[in-house]
Amino acid sequence: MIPPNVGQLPPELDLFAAIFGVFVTVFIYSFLWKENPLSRAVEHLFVGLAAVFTLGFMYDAALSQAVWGTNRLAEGNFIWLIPILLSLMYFFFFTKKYFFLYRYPVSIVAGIMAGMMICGMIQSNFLAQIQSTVELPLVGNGVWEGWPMPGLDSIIIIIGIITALSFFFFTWEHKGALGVSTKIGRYFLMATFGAAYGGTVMARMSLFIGRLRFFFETSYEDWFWAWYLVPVAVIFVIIVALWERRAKG
Amino acid sequence: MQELEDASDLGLWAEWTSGTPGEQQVIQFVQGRHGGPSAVPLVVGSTAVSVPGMMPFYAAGQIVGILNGLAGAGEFEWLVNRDYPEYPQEQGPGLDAQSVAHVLIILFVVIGNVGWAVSKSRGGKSS
Repeated sequence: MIPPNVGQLPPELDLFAAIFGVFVTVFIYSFLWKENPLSRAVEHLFVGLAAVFTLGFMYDAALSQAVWGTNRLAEGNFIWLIPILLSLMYFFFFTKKYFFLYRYPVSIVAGIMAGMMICGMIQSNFLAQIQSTVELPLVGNGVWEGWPMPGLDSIIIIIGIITALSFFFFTWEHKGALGVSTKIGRYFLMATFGAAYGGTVMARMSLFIGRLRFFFETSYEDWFWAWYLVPVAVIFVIIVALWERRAKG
Repeated sequence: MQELEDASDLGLWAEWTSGTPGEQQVIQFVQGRHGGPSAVPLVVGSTAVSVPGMMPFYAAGQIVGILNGLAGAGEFEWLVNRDYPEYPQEQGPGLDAQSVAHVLIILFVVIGNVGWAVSKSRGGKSS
């Protein structure tokens, strides 16, 4: 079992964590200047840590499920024998002779997931969306209350849905009325993608702000502030990048 | 927690997410199985990138509230400070920095477009 404090450093290692955090942050952002051995090293470190962390959690989840299932068996609830046996059948993956048995749990899991997904998708992403569109009020407050013009947002949504859907209608050539509709639909789609892209940029910006806050707000016993080390880390990056350039000739 | 039998016994489901699994899976698997949005009201706090994709679910009532990234977090802190002064929230400098970043990006877009228009008027490459 993974101990509950995994991933947390003891307080006496706060200084080490701050120093390591500064160097790792500067090294990974140095990629924006140019790819260098330090940015690559930190990238590999991140991938390796993520893989090990995932493995640890998966192991923990599997073990706790196994313990939970065997406890139910010990209580005399033998229905749990079925999932336990099915789980053990995964190990036939490692044999050539009985490999076909491995396909049973895989197909059962895939079937259950597909069944749940299809039902959920049709209900949440299809029927509920159609229902909410049909129920849009054309008079009075629309979806987002407080708009200056009552119902304007509903009208925009309806026009957007019809024109954006017409963009994907390829039975007839996009000419005449259909051409106008697809052109308007294209603008709606571009606005949607633009909003998503803007959100992406701002999410990355907020992550960067988080790192800056780490630099300027992390301290240790009033004599060490994390941002003291930023110039040192930058000089490291420059030296290593120049060294690499010289080594490559 | 002992008296809970399934998700429909919950008064509110608050989901903090930055991808998958996230609000889509709650809507599909939890709301879908336990009586829809009225049975399991869902509020979501998310990174800004996912929010445009959530808006149709918000409009349909499948999500009843969204905290939209850092800006949403700042708004939430402001509301808590206004309505629940007994739980004071420290409004960090993150939102100020984000606002400056917004202005800076808008400025860059404007400068880029002006540069493009000037170079086009001088007969330079338009793309």
